[in-house]
Amino acid sequence: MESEYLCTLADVSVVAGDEHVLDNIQYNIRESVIETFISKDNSASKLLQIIGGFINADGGEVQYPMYSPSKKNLSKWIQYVPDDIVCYSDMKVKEFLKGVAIAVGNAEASKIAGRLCELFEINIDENLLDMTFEQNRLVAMIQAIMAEPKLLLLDHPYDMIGKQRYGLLLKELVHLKSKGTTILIAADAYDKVVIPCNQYVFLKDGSIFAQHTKKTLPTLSKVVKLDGGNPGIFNRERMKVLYRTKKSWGILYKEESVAELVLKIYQSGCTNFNVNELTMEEEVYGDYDRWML
Amino acid sequence: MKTVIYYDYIRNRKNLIQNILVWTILFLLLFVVSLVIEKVIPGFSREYLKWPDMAQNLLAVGNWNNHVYINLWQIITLVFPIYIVYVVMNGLCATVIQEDRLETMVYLQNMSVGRMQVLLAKLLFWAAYAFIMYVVLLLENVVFFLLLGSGYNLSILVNHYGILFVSTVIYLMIALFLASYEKHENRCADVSAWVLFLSLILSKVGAFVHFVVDLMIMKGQEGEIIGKVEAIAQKLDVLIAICPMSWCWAGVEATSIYMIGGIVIGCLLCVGSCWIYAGRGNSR
Repeated sequence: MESEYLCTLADVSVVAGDEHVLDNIQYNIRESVIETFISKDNSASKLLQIIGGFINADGGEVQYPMYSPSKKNLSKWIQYVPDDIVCYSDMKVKEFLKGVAIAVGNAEASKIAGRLCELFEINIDENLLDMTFEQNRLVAMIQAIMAEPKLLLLDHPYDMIGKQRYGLLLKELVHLKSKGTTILIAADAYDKVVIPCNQYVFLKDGSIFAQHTKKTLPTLSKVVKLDGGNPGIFNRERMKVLYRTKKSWGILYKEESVAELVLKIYQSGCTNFNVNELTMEEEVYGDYDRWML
Repeated sequence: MKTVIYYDYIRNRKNLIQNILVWTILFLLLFVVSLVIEKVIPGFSREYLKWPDMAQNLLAVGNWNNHVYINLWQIITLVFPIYIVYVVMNGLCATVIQEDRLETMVYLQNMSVGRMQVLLAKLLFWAAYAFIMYVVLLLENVVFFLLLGSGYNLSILVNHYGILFVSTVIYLMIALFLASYEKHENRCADVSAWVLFLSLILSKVGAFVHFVVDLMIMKGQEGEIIGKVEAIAQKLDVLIAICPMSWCWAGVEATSIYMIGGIVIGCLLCVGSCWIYAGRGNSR
């Protein structure tokens, strides 16, 4: 029976010294989806490199049920863009992309490269190491997109790329997905990805901590810092007191309605307050360290 | 593999063209200068290039010719192989190590190029680099030799560049082995230089002892000691085998066994380097 998964991670582990960078990761990746792996450390990047076959896992296995058993032709359908610039010296953009076109052996590839260079306003006669980091990074993206791979691995794709061009890049990625490409992204923060993902996978201490679709992502709580008054009034499940000093305290507010909050603040008799929002990582991981005094 | 060769060509074409231009212009200048010398000082070779045989043997220079240019070419060819072999060894080591250091290997692997292919493609490229240089210089010198009416000496030319190419390939295989485990370009360049330098020194040990014997005879020394030292010198001549570069010198008689042995050892080093490099932290 044919598998429905493009790629399966079976107990994948990576150890660096005493630390588990990845700890028995089990995960299945379907075709034609965009999924983001989020981690504050480098475990998401490592996971992408293992999926792409660029480094070996210390334990477990990455399986490609649809394309097994030959591992030799993996790279023909996997493209990986590292979180770095292309460092070929004395090489122009057109020469670099020509090399890719030769390797891909697809007449369409050169046309796609030409269109994308125009879209991102890249001078193809410029040397790779003479251009801005943003342009160089976009060239790396182009070399991956022009191959129209089955699996595209992007390590922190927003790094070094400005908002406007990143927006254009995301449109291209969505277009690529519609043509059947699976896109996996490694990120260090949810709010930097800004792309409609099918799945968000939060990694912590090398393990999968939580998985969410766009719909199941939690609503972000607010942290309210108050001066003076009586904090006792906030002691409820969805209004947890985070810290308390003689003069001020902070509460975690999970209700969507602010009306109740305003009323409570009024009732507490506080003299001054301000409201901040948690990041998605803080919300998912339940990490409030930043807000503690 | 063709992508690696294409990228290495793009990155090194300037250097190749510069090297070809510098050496062809140098030989052209030598040719013109030698014509002028022959015009101004007729019989220059006979008068001023009559070095004693012992000096000729020590340097491994062939028989002197009536034409100044051919003699100058012989002297230049003592140094040129050292330069060009060092350039290609260094170039090969640098490009292999750079791929890992600058993480450009990722892009080659994106293009379905495995690590072993990268290594072999680079060996091919730098062998081609040397081959192109030698062919250009060979053709140039063939023209010069024919212009001098010295066509019967063409075999020296063909032998020199032919053997030089074989020895360059052997050195490239050694360089490939060095680059496969070394991670720093500078250190690799230093080791390459030492390989060249030491093999060169060792290959000269036999010639030096011959030189000492000649000196002893010149000083009037006689007896059994001369025969013994000469016998040692003849045994030490075999050290030429460990310096492939010296095989192309006119004064050295390199047998085909040396070359076959060198190529076999080079191939073994090649297999070893592929095994080391391909197995380093990558599953593709």
